[in-house]
Amino acid sequence: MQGSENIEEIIHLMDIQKSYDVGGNLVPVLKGLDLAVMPGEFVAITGPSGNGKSTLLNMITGIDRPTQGEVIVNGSPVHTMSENQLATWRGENVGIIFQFFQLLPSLSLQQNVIMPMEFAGKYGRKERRERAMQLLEMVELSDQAHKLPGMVSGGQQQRAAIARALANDPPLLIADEPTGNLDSQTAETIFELFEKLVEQGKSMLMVTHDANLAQRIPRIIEIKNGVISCDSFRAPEIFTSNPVEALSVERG
Amino acid sequence: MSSLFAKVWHDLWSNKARTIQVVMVIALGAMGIGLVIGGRNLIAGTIADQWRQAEPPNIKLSVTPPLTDQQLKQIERIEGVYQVEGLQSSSIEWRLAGDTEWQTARVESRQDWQDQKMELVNLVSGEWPGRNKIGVVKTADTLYGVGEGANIEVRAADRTRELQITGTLKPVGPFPVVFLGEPIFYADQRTFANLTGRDTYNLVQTRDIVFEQARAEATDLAIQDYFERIGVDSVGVLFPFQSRIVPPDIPPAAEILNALFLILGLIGVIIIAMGVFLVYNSVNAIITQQVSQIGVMKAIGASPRQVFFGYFLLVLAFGVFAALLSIPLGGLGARGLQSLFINLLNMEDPGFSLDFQAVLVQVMVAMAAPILAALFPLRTATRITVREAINTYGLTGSTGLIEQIITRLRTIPYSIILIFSNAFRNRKRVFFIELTLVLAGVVFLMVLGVNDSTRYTFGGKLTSIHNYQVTLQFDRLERTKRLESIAQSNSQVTDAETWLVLPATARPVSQEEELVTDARIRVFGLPADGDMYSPDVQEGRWFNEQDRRAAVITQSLAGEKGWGIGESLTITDANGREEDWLVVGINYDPLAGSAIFTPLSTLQREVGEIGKANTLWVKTITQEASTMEAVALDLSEAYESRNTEVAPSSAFGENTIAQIVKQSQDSFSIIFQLLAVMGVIIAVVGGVGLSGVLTLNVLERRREIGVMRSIGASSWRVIRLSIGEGVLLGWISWLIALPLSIPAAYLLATRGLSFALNQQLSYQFSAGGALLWLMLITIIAIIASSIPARNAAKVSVRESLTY
Repeated sequence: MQGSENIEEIIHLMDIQKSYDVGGNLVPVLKGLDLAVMPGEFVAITGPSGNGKSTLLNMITGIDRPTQGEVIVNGSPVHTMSENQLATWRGENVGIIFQFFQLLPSLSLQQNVIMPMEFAGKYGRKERRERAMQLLEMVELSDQAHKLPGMVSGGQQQRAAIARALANDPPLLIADEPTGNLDSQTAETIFELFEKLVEQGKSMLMVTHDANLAQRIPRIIEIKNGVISCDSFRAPEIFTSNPVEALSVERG
Repeated sequence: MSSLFAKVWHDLWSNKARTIQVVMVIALGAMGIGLVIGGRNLIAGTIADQWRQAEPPNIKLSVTPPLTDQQLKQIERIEGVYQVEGLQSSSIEWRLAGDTEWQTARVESRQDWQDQKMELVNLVSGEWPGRNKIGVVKTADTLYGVGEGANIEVRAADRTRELQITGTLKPVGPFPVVFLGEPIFYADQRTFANLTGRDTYNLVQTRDIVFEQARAEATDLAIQDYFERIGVDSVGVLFPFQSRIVPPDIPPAAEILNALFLILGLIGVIIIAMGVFLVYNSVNAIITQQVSQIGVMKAIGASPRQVFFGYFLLVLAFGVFAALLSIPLGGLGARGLQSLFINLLNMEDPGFSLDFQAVLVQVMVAMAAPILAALFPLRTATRITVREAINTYGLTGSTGLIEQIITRLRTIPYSIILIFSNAFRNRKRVFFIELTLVLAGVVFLMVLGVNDSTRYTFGGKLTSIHNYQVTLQFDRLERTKRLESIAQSNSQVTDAETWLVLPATARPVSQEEELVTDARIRVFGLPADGDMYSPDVQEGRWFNEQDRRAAVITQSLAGEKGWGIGESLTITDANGREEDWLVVGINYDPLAGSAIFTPLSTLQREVGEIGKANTLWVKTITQEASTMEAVALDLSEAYESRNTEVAPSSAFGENTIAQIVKQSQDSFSIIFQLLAVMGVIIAVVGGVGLSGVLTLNVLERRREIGVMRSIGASSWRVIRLSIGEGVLLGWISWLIALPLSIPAAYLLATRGLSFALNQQLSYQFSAGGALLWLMLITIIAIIASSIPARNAAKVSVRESLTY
């Protein structure tokens, strides 16, 4: 697909605006937002409730379309794709982790992990099962593989959801409040998993209200009133393998 | 696609109640069609096979006066007659030896039991009839308490004899013994003559080598010509419309069966339509429930086609299970119908078999109906966006017109508000379930309306027109004063009239020559101001004694031929005499069929038989059936003892009005039973559908129910709400179905069945039926809502409020 001039960026948003029709009135949620994320970055999206954080994620994953602006993700102009194209694109390019896990309740954890591979037509039948077990093992759930989501804890469900998000080895992971429904200890476990994935080269965007977690993420973007109010980088010494320069940009 | 298959299987298995409901709804619809098609094919096939084995005649006639052997030989010489056979039939009284009470029966004989030619009778067990030894029809032992080995006393023509029953016989092919109301005994010629004093044949049947309609009609005309020359009258006797000619490959009652199964088939289609609506509702609800799952699947890469395929598999699975369930049920139902007719028509049981055509149609319906019903919801499913799957987890509700109206009615108890609000939560779903329940109600009320109409037509309506209690027909014309005088000498008789009833043909005056398509009618000559008949004139007027050749025709005849007031008709009697008559009125008569009514004196004059008649109509002291039968027998004996031969049947078949009413109603009872079976299936489908809708309503309101329980609602309150919802939906459907069922029942009774059975029915609204359906729909609603109500009560606060 034709990309923009910044082909190195994994996410490139230009002048993103999004309004919703609420009872006949157009309510702007995103008011002209630009964002660039490089491959391998771990980015936290923070900000007050109702200011557009989840909407921003929906723009990136193609779940929603901008009223105006361009969304280029992994070189693909997401904002121009049809629903059909988006579904296929998502399966191969993005792994989504939801706040409420969103595992299919009638399938086992292993079957949930296999599902995206089947949709994308990737890997052979045997290979899918093996890969699913490897991913579950990575998240320390291989012994729960054949259980239904309702039979495991919230933390285990979220780990299974992460394994599912990794099923097709997408370069980009998007997580919307992934620890919002978990206790602090479990949240810590999940976060450590994310850190490990970033170390392995994944790009990660995570919406979070947890200030403690956000502080540990190298780049923090604050959304306020539909625009990026702050885009700051933490000091590089925490991520010794990541050569991103410490940079802090205030936007007013 | 193993995960998709796994999802489909889990969706089916994890919600077994829903799966069973959807499968049952489809299966019942397919079963209904299979029952109708399979039943029709099996019954028609059995009747046709066994009718062929009976060697059916082409022409069968009742003759007056009876024929001799010599006359039969003359008939055999007529072109188109390959075989001729004479039969004898007479009414008798009988009782088991040692009993005191006499009962009526029929005794039959033929030229040679061991050399039968047509309409064969088989010896089931024992001996053929012989000297003073008679046979009895099969099932007489169970129906009438007399069987092989019994000794009976027989009384006829003032003679009483003791006879032994030494054999059991059965007419080959379909023969409705149960409708006769009395047993049939079989005697040889000598015994018959000894019993009845008659050795001549009052029934004659003929057959050609190969049947051909035009040739048979020509043969019939030739026979009639011969009868004219020898002074014999004849009428057709072939069931069901007293036809003279019936093609041998068309069994008796074929037209009735076809009409009956057409009506049942229409009801079967309605059941399928109901099933389609319910499946639409169910699949729509499944997809609604799984919106989040569909969104998630799309979020992780499922294309719309893949989503469609997954839910298509689910619907297909419903269809497969339904097909598997409906085939044996439909087969058993068809077999049940077949057995019903086998017993009714005293046929041989060919054994169980599945009708291939019915199975094929059932499978197609079971598979196609859910797919058809699910197409729109499946399309909706593919269009669900990921964004729709991102749930809000608070309580949501509608703010439509109904809710706005309800919330303004502050004085209404909250439980009533909740019931209304919950019931109309999903308008589309309510629309389809109401459509289903209304259809069920309309069909059910229609069936009951038809039943009430037939009971009215052949009950109160009939007796309001036919005011006599007893009627006899004589083999010859007799002096009216003599007939009436003999009748009035019976102490049970309060009044007596004589009429002249003659077979004839009628054609428009403009048609110069007789044709085979001329209307075959009966002409009733009766007193203009008599007491036995109260005409129900629909158009024009009744005749009066001063009228010269005025005729009132029946509605049946008017409808059949398109004749009306002012029409001039040429009426030709059995002797070939032709006269022109003017139609002055059209009357309704459920018994008379194609008939013309004229002043008795005019008719007597026209046929040259002044002062004579051939039928007697009598009123008795009481209207008890037993009194009527006793008077009929006493009068028959009185006439026979005075050398006045009484015909075995009256102008309307039976000799008492009670028997006429019963026979007419009985012929409809099987129709009503079949319609009732379909009505029950419909009611069950409606109940299953309602239960499904209420279950879905409860599932959607889990969180709401949890909140109610968290603020103090007891289980009983929750159950009451669910039941209230169901009853409300049921009552609404009753209110809508009731006015719709009236024209439906009217059309079915006065057009559909009347045309099919050649019987003019009068419609009567079934108030009892309306109340019965209200009661039934309430019960169905309570039962249908009991399971979801129980499920609602079991919802725990913790489960419903946590994700």
